[in-house]
Amino acid sequence: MTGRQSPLTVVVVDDDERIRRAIGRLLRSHGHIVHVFDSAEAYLAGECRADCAILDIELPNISGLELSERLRANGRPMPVVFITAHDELHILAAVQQTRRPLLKKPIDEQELLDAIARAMNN
Amino acid sequence: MALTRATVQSSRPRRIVTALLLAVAAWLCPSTYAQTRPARTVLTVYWSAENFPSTAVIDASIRRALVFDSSVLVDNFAEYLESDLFPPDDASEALRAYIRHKYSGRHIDVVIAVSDPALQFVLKQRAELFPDAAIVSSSINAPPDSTTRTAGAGVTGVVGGDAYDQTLDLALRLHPSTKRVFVVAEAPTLPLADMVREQLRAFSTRVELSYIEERSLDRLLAAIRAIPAGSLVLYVRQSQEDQGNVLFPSDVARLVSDASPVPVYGVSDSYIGSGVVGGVVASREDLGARLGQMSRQILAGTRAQDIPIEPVRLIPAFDWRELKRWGIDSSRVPPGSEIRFQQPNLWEAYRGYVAAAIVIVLVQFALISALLVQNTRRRQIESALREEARFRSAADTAPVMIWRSGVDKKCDFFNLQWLAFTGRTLAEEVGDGWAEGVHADDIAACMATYRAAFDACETFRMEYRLRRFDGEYRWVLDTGVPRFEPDGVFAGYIGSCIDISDRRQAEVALQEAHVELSRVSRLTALGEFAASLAHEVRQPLTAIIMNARSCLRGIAGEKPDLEDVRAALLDIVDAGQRAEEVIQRNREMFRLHRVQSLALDINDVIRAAIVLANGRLKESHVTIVTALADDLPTVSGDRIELQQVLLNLIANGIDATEPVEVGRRRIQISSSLTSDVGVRVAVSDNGIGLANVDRQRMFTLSYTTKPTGTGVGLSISRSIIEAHGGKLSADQNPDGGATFSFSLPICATDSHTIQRSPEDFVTGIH
Repeated sequence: MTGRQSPLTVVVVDDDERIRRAIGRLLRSHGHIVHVFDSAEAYLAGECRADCAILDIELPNISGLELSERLRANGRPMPVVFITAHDELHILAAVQQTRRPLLKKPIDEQELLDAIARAMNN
Repeated sequence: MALTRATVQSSRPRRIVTALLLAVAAWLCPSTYAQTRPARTVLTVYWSAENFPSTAVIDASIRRALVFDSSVLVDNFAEYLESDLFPPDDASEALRAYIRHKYSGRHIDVVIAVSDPALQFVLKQRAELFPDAAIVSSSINAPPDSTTRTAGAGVTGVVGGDAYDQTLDLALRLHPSTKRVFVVAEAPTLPLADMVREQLRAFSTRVELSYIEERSLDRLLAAIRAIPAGSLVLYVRQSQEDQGNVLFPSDVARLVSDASPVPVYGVSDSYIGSGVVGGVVASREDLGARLGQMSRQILAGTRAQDIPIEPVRLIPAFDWRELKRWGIDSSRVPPGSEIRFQQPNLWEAYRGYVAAAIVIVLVQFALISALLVQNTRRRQIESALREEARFRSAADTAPVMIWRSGVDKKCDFFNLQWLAFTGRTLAEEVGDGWAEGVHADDIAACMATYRAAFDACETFRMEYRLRRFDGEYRWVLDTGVPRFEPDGVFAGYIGSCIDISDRRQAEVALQEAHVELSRVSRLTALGEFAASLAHEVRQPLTAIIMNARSCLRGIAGEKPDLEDVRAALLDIVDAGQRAEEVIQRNREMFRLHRVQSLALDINDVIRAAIVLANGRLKESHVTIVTALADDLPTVSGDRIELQQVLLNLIANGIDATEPVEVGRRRIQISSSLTSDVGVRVAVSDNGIGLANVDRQRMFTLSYTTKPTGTGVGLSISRSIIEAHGGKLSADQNPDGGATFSFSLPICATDSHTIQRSPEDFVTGIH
């Protein structure tokens, strides 16, 4: 996937403002539309349609995994890329069950774009 | 007798005739004598009364001497002047009249006058009463002069009286430390006192002489009772002629002796036996004998004036009972002394019986003793056998292995449990045979412990491996205690063993699990720390990378949005600062990590550490000894961490003593108060020492001399001690080995906190 393809609407949910800004800035430079939220609750409250969601796993109260499950349970499944700064086995195992891409921070540009593409192809 | 012998062979009728003739002859003979040789008359005139004590003695002696020679028949009479009891003139006149009347029909051949008053009376009445009689006298002060001697039928006799001076001299020789002598000399009818003073004058330079001049008996005895110790009494004479209470001088001698607190010496023969110790006296018996003998000479035809006047014989005489009473050794009396009233002792009286009785008693005693000894021995042996049987039966039924040794350290008994365990016979095990079953690695320590305890007579506990009957070496715990005979004599040791292999295996497993657990927990802690740090750093790193990519994309475009690039670069800087913050915050977090520390008794910490290290110490055959000072002040600190330090130092000591032979490996832990009011703990070993150690680097991280060491132990130990405000140091021992010591300040308050540095977080045994 490259920046020249049709623009996507991407949601970024991360409680770290720097991460939200950095990912948002990079995806916008690729021509995508980006909506950022600092928590699962904030996203659910102002829910917007998107082509893909980039969810941090360690969110306060409702984790990224749980948010993804809720969306699916509500009948609005969405391609998801999980990101995390942790590398504990139990987290990795839990994500693996979802069969969704997981990116371990620090994340590089191409890694992120490839994961979005993979998520949308699933 | 000759007639009797001649008739021995005669016939019976002749024997009867002869007997009759003899009887007639015997009847006729005295009258024939009487007619041919008429009796002579001797009259003895005594000064004193018939019952005067010496009178009877003298009279008996005179009589014995007069009848000694039966060729002269003598009629012996006695008369008593008694001028000491009655007025002398009246007494004298009465006796004169009495004798004149009484003896008018008799011719008196010899008159014996006893004592001066009697002689004076006889000489005065001689012309009237005894015109032809020779006079034999016993005079004291006034011997007959030469004129008197040759007048009439003549005068002879014995002269001289009691020797006061000789008696006193004798007494002083027997009592050399005497200071005062009390003299009793009182006779109303005699010039006695002056005579005595005259005789004793010479003694006044030797002792203090005091004269008791008391006429009253009560006052005399009171004065006697008051005599001080170290004195003597010289009793010359005291007669009591109170009306109705006539006491002769010898009676008074008895009262004086009984009252006196000091020995009493008397000057008269009649006092010996009346309580006086003794004296130089004129023997009354001797005097009577001489008077009698002189009279006999005269009767035999010798003229009185031809018989020389002799001095009275004086002899030292003693009362044996009084010598005993005053503790005077009878061997000290002068030679030739007469000791009277000597009571034969049992041996002297019944020598034969006593000897026989002693022999019988001795024989019986020997027999009884032999029987008793034999009986006692038999009972002792029986008792010992019973004891032994009881002991063996008890030992064989005990559920533990039991051994016993004698004073020679050799074992003489093993119970059935022991023999069943080793599968050997008693004969194989006794002596030092049991030691063959001890594991080769343990035998040296085992024997060293046993011998050391034995020599100190102390209880010991040791663990060693002992070969079981199936060849497997099993760990046994052997406890030995000294045993003593009932009389307290050390008799050797008795000990019991239990198989502790299973327990020991469990202990080893537990210890290994502890070590593993502690390692895992350390790793886990490290991992968590690392994970936490990673997570926090990855966030800014992600931001940095993303923003940097945005910048790269921005500046790669034809019309770069420099404002956007600038914002991204600022975010990169911000994220970089954030990363530094994370690291800094983590550092701060550890730097400010504080643990609560409590007041600790360092000796408790040491003991706990030894308990924890016990397994390794035993495994390595290292003996640990402690020298912990009493009453140490508390220190403040973290118990677990200080234990960790001690465990590290003990572990170092164990490793250092590995080249030392088994049985000599030793670690000592001591605690003491330092001069600057802190507590010092020292861990010494007798190992290889610090010769090959880089003393500069030994406390730094990763320095090690051991092939399997990590080099962390001493570094951590030092950090912990320094965090506690102390200092860890190492020294080479003068006699080999090393001493690691640290000091800790004493606890100022109940508890306080210790500041920690980050590397303290990593703890553990190297």
